Amino acid sequence: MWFFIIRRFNLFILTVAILYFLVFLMMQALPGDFATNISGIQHPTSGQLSELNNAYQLDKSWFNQYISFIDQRIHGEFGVSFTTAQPIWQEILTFLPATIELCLYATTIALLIGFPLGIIAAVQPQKPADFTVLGLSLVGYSIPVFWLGVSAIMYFGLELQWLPVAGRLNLLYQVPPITGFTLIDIWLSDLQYKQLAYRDAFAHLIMPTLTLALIPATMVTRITRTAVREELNANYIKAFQSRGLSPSTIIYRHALPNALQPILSQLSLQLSTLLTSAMVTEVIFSWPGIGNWLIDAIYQRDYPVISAGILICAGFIILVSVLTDIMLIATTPKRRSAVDGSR
Amino acid sequence: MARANSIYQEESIPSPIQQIWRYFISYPVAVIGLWVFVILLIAAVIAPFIAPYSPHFQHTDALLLPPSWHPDGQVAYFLGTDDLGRDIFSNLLYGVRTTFGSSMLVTLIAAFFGIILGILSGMSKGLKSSILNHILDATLAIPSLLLAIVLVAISGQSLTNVMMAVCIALIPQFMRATHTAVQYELPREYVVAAKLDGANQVQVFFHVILPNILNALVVQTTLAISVAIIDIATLGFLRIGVPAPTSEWGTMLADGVDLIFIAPWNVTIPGLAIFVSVLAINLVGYGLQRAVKEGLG
Repeated sequence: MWFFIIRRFNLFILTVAILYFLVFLMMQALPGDFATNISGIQHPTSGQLSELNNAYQLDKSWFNQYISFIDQRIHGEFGVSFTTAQPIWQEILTFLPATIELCLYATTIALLIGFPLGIIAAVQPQKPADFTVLGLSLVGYSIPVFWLGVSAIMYFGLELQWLPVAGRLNLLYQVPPITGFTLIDIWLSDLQYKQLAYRDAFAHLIMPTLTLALIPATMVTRITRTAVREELNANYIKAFQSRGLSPSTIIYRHALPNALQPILSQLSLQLSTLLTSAMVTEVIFSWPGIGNWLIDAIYQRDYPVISAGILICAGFIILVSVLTDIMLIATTPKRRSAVDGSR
Repeated sequence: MARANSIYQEESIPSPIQQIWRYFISYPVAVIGLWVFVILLIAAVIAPFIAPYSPHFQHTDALLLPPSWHPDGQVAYFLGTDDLGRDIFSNLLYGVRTTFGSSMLVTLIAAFFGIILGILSGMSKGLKSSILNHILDATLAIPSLLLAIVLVAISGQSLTNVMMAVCIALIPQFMRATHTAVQYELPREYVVAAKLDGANQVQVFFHVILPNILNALVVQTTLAISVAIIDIATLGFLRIGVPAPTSEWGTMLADGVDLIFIAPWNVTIPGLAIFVSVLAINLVGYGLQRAVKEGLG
């Protein structure tokens, strides 16, 4: 087993290296001076320029440049932003928690909705319940995130005035950002009205999380439905049925644990879709996260920030897919030969 | 296939495509999806002939008219007008061309390149396959929207650039689907049999594997169209997509957001258009998927 895990880890390094190379190529294709784009320092003085030359080996061959580019980025040196002139790594650390918070809650909701629905649809093939779930998931999957977000704002925010439409917390509550996660920060703060602050934070959370949760929920439903049904058609299930095991035992003790494998591996592939819709959701609800920051960077043509955003997002996706792979390999011997990396 | 115990000497066996078609039209929802799809296709072609007005013409005497079924609406402006007095219905019709038409085109181009690359990576072994796969993994890890945004940032805002960006974002998905399909078929017995008969790689692929993975590729293509529509509309919504004078559903929606208080139909109608077309394509894709499964499985 260790052989496979080490092999997968090597592949991870290789894939990340290729990702860095793609971003490196992109940096060279971008308009403007390469030294400026890679460091974020506009109009560098001669002293800064020689420093950059030193750090990124700009006078050497492209291969040296590529290696030192990786070296700088891995040590958290992402350069500075064009617009704010702040170190980008610092900015990432302030914006990332908001995105993680949003994605985490949305994924939890999606799993809580998608799993049961998928199982219900899977155990009743070709019945009304199956068709309803399938129809709902097809409809939900077809709704564009931005339309849903804007419609939610229009109805619940403006017409009914039930929920706040933008941001994470009312400005009345001065919560110092310690961890960056609002709910934890409120708990850590010495606010007088913690309960009111919590209620406000939750009100701010409802619309963005539900908007973001819709598409993952439909995906979880469909993946679960397919995977569980496939397991239920297997011969060992028939063997159990013939021995008179109750349907619930078969489903919960045998079919579901086995179906979890394909579900997990399929879900890790959907992560980039989740991040994409998270970016759009953040823009609509003015959520101060990575997505909002990145889209702003695009309007400002802030190239160092864009490249840092790609490295962080794609790196995160690759990391998660490798971790799921390793977890799957560790728990199922069957997968080991299939994931030997050469094919 | 012909049954020995049948009393009829001649039995017409429907070809695989006929079988798939029969199964497909037995799902009413999928057929509705297909109708909407065909209507959209026709609309994309004849938009200039059926649109009542030019999409850019500003009717200064008819600003922010609600849709015609509203008491204040006029039938002359069927779906109402926006804040510059542009007819929403005409805009929507021209938008079929940009949003729907260009996503069709983009998907076909992406399918062409993605499938070829997927075949190359699927049929090859060892180092070559490894290299292709890791490039694939790395590009697949970059969210498609982000990739599109970067390309637009590099080469500027125009319809061609947006299309190219979405195309490049779609190619890895085609590559992966083709790769998986080829890898699934490759070790199976009928392929081994063909190899033992002395078929070379090219023959194995075109005569043995391709007919069996074609269905998977068609389904993938249908689903990719819906992804392309959403991507193009999302780029338009974020205002980094198709530039201003061109009618595009996402951009129309983004323009409508400013008027959300006084003229909510400017948001609802373009959104509904995107939703209906994506839903139609997903229904067709789903119908095809099931028809292929039942017709061939």
